[in-house]
Amino acid sequence: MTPIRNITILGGGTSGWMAAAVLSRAFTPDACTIRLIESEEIGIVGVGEATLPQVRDFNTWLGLDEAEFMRATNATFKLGIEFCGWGTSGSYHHPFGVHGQSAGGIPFHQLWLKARTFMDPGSIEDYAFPIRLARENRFDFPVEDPKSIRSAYAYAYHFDAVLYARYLRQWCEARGVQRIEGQVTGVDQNAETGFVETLTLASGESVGGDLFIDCSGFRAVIAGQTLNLGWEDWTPWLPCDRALAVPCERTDDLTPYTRATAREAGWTWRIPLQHRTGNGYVFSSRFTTEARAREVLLGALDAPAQAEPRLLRFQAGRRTASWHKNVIALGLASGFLEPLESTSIYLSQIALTFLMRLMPDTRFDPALAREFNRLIDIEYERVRDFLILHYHANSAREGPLWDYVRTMPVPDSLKEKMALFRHRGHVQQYKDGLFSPASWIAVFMGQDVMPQAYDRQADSLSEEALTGYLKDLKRKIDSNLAVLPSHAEFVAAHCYDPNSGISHD
Amino acid sequence: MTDTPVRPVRKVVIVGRDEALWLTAAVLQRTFARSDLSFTAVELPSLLRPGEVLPTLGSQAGFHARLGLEEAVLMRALGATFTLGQQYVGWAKSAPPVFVGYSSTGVALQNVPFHHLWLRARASGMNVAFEDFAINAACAKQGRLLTPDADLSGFADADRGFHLPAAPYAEMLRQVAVKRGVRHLPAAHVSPVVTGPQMTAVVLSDGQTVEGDLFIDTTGSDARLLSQMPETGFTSWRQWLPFNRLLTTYTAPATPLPAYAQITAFRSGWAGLFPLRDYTAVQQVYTRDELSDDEAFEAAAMVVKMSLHPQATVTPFEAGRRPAWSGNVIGLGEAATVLDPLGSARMPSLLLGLSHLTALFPLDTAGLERAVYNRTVGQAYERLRDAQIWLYSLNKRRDQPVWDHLRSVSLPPELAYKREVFAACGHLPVYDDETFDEAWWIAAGLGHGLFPATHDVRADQLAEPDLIRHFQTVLGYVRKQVEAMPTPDAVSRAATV
Repeated sequence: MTPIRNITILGGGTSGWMAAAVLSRAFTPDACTIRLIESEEIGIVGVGEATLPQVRDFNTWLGLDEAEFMRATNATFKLGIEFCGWGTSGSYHHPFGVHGQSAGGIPFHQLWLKARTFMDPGSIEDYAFPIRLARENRFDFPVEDPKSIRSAYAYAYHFDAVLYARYLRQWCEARGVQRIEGQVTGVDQNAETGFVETLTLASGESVGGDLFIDCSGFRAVIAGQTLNLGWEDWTPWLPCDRALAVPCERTDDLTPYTRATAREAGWTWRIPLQHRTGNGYVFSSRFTTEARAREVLLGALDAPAQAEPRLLRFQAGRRTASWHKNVIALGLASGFLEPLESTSIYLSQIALTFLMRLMPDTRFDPALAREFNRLIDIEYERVRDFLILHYHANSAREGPLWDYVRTMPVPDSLKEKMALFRHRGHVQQYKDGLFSPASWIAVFMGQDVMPQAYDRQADSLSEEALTGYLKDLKRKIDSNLAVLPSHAEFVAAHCYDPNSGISHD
Repeated sequence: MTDTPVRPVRKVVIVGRDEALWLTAAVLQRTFARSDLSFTAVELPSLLRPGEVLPTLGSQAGFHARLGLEEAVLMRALGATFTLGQQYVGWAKSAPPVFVGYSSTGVALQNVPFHHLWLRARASGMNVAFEDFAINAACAKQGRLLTPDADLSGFADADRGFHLPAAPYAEMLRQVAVKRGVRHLPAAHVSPVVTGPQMTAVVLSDGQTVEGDLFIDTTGSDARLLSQMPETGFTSWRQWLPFNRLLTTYTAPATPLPAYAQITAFRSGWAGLFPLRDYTAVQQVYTRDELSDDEAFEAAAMVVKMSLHPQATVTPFEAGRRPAWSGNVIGLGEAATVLDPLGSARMPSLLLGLSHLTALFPLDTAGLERAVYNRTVGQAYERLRDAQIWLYSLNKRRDQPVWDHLRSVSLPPELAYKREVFAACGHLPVYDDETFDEAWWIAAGLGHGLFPATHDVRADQLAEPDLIRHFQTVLGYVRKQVEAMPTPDAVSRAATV
């Protein structure tokens, strides 16, 4: 077997530099040459970026120092997402953690559902430690003792994706990754095998490679433009196809969560960084105009805008095969799902994890590509169904977009999930892919998909025992909460960037 | 679709026998005792054979905990034993035995899974068996038992299964169930009453009619209730699991007591020894085409090289499954799926059905849960089946018709895919609802000599001395842990005092 000696990455956005980082962590420069081609002339899509807790595994594996990385990227902490205006309750949180604590193997939400039949237990969110933390704008690291209520959550970051890519670039270059400035004008394939052999740059320079990783974003220069790999369109379920992004000044209180607010033809994001707040409006061009979208976005800001809104176009869907011959499409070149659940960095990260597991040699056994594509498909479909749920399960919103998504036919996999939850609060667990039952429960409940009955296992606790259990839990949460610092204080102490303009009082 | 009005499930009737009946009754009663449900167990005559053993996985312990049965008490009362895995003898002619245990093997280095490190070292000439890096295999082979107080943190995931003597185990569960309030009605036979798509009652041999909202069939492979319901046809797995006879007997207890089962292949099947405190249970699996029952008994004695108790029982079986839930009837255990006894998979298949049932216990007779139950449990049974086919397909007994067939038969698609990917690169795809974990599949694959064409390239990035040091650390750790462990006899004796 001949190992791969040259890997060429096209595109220097977040996923390009993440790929370079993973590869340069795994291979010494004498074993494998890693090149990354990027052009200063092509902007990167990176807006204020919200992440999932998995990004911490990525950083840890690279050996990044958390405080240093946070300073370098103007990062703040993230405990989850607040969804405003999606359900009838005004707002709900999807936390990185669970509601309550299960008792005797019975899921907490079943106990809460039972409690509702004989008392008023209050909102289920009152029993979720990470939600309570978020609502009070507090933050602290989770503790390790699994018995403590303060262990029942994880955290992620909000950071500036441009700065993150830059930070990774420095890290990669220090480890021998070669950065090549330039735009690709030609892709040459072997006439017989169809394998890509070289990329030609505008300068005339040509860059070879055994393996090419296409991180060229929506343009998908190799995977799309050259190989014409198929694209599965998910617009019928996820009709949003535009985003306007704009930064604004940061506000005094630093929220430890992302906010996603439903709007007339889509939704707006709000991502707090140390030095500014990232905002955007994801909308469907079928249901609104760009001018109107601009109006909605600027009207939604909670501080003065710092720039003109920038327009991005996209289409929900994924490449039918992300790995084809010696080309692997990564990030936006491989698929696009709107950032409603902050999944884009995760999807690049998991693809890199799979690639590491299935790294080919120069024979490129097709079994490897097949397995890679199977695993990627599972990831994308799981996220897709979860996103569709947010749109489809809306009983409160008016307007043509919302009428459309409420009545559209949804994938059978989702239909069955919703029916079982409505019937008895049951969530089927799956092994691969994102979103544990806790996530599904948060969104179902938040968006008024309320179970008609509870699982009879919850009868194991008598009414009296259950009342006591809930009271206890609330008391435990209250007492643990009160001693924790505010998010702003925590960031200032842990990873403050002196140039961010964060206040110190 | 149905004329019968939907009503809540209140009366649950479980019809069956032996461990399947009583484990189901005890667990359901325990789980839903405070709900508005009543449980009736209609007990048919036992089909347990003298000396019969129920080999099972560590997950059985979760059910014991749920029933409030203390492990030490249970082990002592039954004369049950712990098992760390199975040793396969004669899977290839003139190859050493292969141990497939319930533990991880080795430890990852720099995020590179251990088996890739081992594959790299093997390619450059290292000659230490994969199983030597597995704590369970090492313990078992050196006559030790891994105890739960062993500190394995960061070094190994390990579990132990059980060998349970069938008759006393079923009796213990019966007592638990009845004491907790399950109504017990013995019957010589039953006649189900089906109206449209629903079962309404069973009529017992004494003429008594037992009505119910939900019926659970634990009658065994006849599926006396479930088979009366629509769309419950049996799908045979004969092409992959061709053995169709199980001979059961027993012999003297082994001294010293081993903490594993030994499975020995012979021309027409295999014979297994399952050590218990007071005797050794013997199972032999073969095909009717190759051996008469008398020949089988003689063959068993020759294969295990022991004199066996002549009171041997032969039970025909055919591996396969039927949809487990139809109308208001749910089959558990062999009423839903019949597995080959290999890999101790029969009891775990009962546990699978039961745990899915408690999670999806129907609220009413509409049975909205049915579709998802049938799909997930069906997949889970098939993955368990695939694990058995995996073991069989890895044999290298050339020129023996059954074994040649097992080695060359085209595999079910999910398993064929798994094998293809593993053989290509050493990565093992794991699906939803698998009973056996990745470590088990890899241990079986590498143990039986299925070596991937390549390994993780990251393994080649590690410096040779680091790799050697890592192997030595793991071996040293395994050795140290094994030395600290008691013998199975000591554990058994301690439980007896």
